[in-house]
Amino acid sequence: MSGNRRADSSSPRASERRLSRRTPDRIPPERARRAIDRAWEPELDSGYLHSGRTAAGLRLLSSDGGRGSSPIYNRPAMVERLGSTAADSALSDAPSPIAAYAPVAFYDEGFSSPGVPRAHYRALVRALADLSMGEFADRRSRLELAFMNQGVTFTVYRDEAGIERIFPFDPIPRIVTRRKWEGIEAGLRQRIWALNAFIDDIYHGQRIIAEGVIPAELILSARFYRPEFMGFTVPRGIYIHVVGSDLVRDERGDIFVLEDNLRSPSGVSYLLANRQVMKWVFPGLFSAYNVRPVEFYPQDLLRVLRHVAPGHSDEPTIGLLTPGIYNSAYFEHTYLAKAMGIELVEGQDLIVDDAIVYMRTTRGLRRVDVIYRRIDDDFLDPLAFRPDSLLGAAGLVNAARRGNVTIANSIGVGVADDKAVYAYVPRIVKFYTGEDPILPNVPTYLGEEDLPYILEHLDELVIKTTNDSGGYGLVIGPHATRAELEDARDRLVADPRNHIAQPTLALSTHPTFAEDAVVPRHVDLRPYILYGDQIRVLPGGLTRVALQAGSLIVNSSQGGGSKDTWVLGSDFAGDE
Amino acid sequence: MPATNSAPALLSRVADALYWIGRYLERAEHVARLLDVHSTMVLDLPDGSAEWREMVALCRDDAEYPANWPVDAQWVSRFVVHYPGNGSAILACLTVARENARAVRGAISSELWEQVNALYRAVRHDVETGAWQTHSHAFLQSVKQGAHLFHGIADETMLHDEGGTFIRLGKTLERGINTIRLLDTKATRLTLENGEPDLLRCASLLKMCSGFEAYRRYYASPIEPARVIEFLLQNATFPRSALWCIGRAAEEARGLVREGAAGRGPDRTLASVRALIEFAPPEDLAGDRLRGFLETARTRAWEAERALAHTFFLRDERPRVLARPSFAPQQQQQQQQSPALTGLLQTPTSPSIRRSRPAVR
Repeated sequence: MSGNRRADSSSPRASERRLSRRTPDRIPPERARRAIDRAWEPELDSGYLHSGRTAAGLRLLSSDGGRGSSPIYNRPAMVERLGSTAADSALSDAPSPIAAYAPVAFYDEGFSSPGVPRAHYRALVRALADLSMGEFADRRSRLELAFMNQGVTFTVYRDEAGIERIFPFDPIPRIVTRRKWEGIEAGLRQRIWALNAFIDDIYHGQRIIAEGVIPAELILSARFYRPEFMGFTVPRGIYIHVVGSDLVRDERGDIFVLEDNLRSPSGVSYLLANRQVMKWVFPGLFSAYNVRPVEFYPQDLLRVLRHVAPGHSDEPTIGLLTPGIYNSAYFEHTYLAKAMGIELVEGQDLIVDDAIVYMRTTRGLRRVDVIYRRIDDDFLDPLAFRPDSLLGAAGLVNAARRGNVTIANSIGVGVADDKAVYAYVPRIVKFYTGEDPILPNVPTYLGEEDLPYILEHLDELVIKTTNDSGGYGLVIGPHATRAELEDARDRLVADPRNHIAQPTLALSTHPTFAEDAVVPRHVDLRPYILYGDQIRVLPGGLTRVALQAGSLIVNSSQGGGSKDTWVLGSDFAGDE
Repeated sequence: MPATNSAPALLSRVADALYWIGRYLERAEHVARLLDVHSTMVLDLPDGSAEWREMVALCRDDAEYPANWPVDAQWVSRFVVHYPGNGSAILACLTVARENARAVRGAISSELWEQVNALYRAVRHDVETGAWQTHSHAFLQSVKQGAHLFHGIADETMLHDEGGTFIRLGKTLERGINTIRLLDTKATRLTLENGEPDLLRCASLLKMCSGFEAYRRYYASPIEPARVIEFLLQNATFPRSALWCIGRAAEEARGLVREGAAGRGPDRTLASVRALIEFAPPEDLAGDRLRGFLETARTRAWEAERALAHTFFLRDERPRVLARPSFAPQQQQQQQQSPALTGLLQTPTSPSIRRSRPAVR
């Protein structure tokens, strides 16, 4: 499949077609508008759409019935022709798919109402509207080729050879205004600082428990709490060197923190690769904006890792510890190791002797000072945690305890990733900073405290287990079948401590290219925060998008894609 | 970037993978050229089909030709290009090379990775679509050029440090062994029954090493079987002669060995193979004695392979440290080594790797 694409996009015929293209005859705006209105109409009176009904609403947009008989909606024929290599200039001149964009009744990042882009999206929409359908499809295939050749892929092991897929990428960027970003940045700084103070407290004096802010049982029963690390002091008091929080917006456009992700969050390399490839394929789109660069991230991360190196070395040797090529984030590990110029090591490369960590090189053993680990606590060291793990190195944890090596992120920080502890983060922020949190939490009901309420409203809530990630263990009440709800009820009653519930969020939507049209799809945002000599928030983040109509699950493991995220460096007149 | 972070140390696992990338790309290129030249040659023979048996024989020992397959152009080509049971098939070589490259992506340049990846994907695509059969020559040409491009990119985009050395070591050693192997199979058939040189076979043997033009240029006289053998074995300037390849591998290996340890590790073994070939008396290279000589050379080259792996890679064995007989004074401030590790670090088998002390930097 990829090979075909490759051949097509580079065939002389394709480029000929582009060169000889006539001026596209566009659909007059009024006509496009009428078509939009027709597609929009059936949902106009529905007011606030619950996500359960949205699916139907979006289906309407993507089915022929909803499109009416207007020629621009005559998609199936167009798709077929575009898919073949036959040059048909009339069809590749079909107007830009963004002309027909119609948001549904959520907060839409790009449009305030059908046909009306928000102020900071106007230039983007204009630029996209200049691209015909054919050009748009051509550039999309170039994007995919670039990702494929760079190996920005994950592997599906179905047969021996393995099938490689690129992570779905949507070329329509998400834009965040400077003002909005300043709020997010300040909120994240405050939150990360407080969480670091919390980890430090939990593994030392436990003042927050003593003062009754958070119940002791909650901490002691957290799955990733590591009592064996009590009293463990880390270099410069930093535990969470890299954080990737998940942010969402609700139907009013307010921003909430959904998760904090203190344990080796992944995805930053996709963000960096997305930006690179966008610049190659859509250079023109950048010219209208002052987009803040993201390329400094690897150097900033390197500075953090050097900052926390143990005192014995001025020029620390730093390794990124990867589980190896079969890990789904392996691309990211190679990308970051290379961008920082540090060694990419596997467990088999490391050996610990007398609490000092070495790596095996062609010239003998070489001491390692800092390990940026991308494997979970459980697999780090068979002597300390899971004895069957081959991914780590025996004795690594002891070396860290002795201060001979720094492990980033530190061990035991997962205690704050427990979703029941998450519910206390606003109180944690208040306790350590004395300030009110700038970024709010999503309202959260604890299985232990609010069980009756949760059971009563099961079909309206999202039920989560406290220690799963990647969208696993998640039940979305309004979308769930009766059997799924019953199952969730049983699990809740059996184990209330390890379940929480949250209201079903009407996540914001963003114009997204899917099914050969630009359609609204739900998005979230994962910014990346580095904690070194200061707390730095990468200006941007990974916007994840649920590519299936109506779906709220953005995880890449479950059909999500990503977008480039542009944080603007200058102010924009108008609304956000 | 501070100097010490780019210091010479290379992970053993990475060195191992780079070496095998070099070998497998060379093998893919070699197999592609064999098939290309062979397919052209048989067109000039009255009974071409019998020749395909020889092509099967040219493939490495580890592959078994399926018993129920006919031995003809179509099936042997399939065996050589993509039969899954043939570890030296072109697709298999490129798959392994790419898997190795993927495992060390952190240590090779992005350009180099993209080249391995693109070559693999193009070949796989051609195999899946059948294009390799319809445009066989163009396909084989693209494999050869892809391998050349790889080495050019490695040379132009990567640090000229140990990493590149291991790639070249793999390449030259593989190439030298391939040439010896090719001679072993082909050398006996270079003369016709009437004593005249078999010009067609001589030419195709030279072409299989892309040495036809080089030979003509070097000797500027009619082709003679004895000279073909001499040229492919002992020519000092032809980059696919056994002498040139093994000699170059010995030089690369010498660059890897720490000062003071020179002449006692794989560089020594390789240099001795080089000397064996260089100073072979002419009578050893003729008639019945040739095969015996080639057999010896192959065995010695194989020993060199083992010495390399033992000295630099050692993935499954315990770690060890290369000897540095003239330890500088600063070595004393190193960590005192625990008895447990001392035991682990010692490898008694090779004289060059006896010492055991972590090379702390």
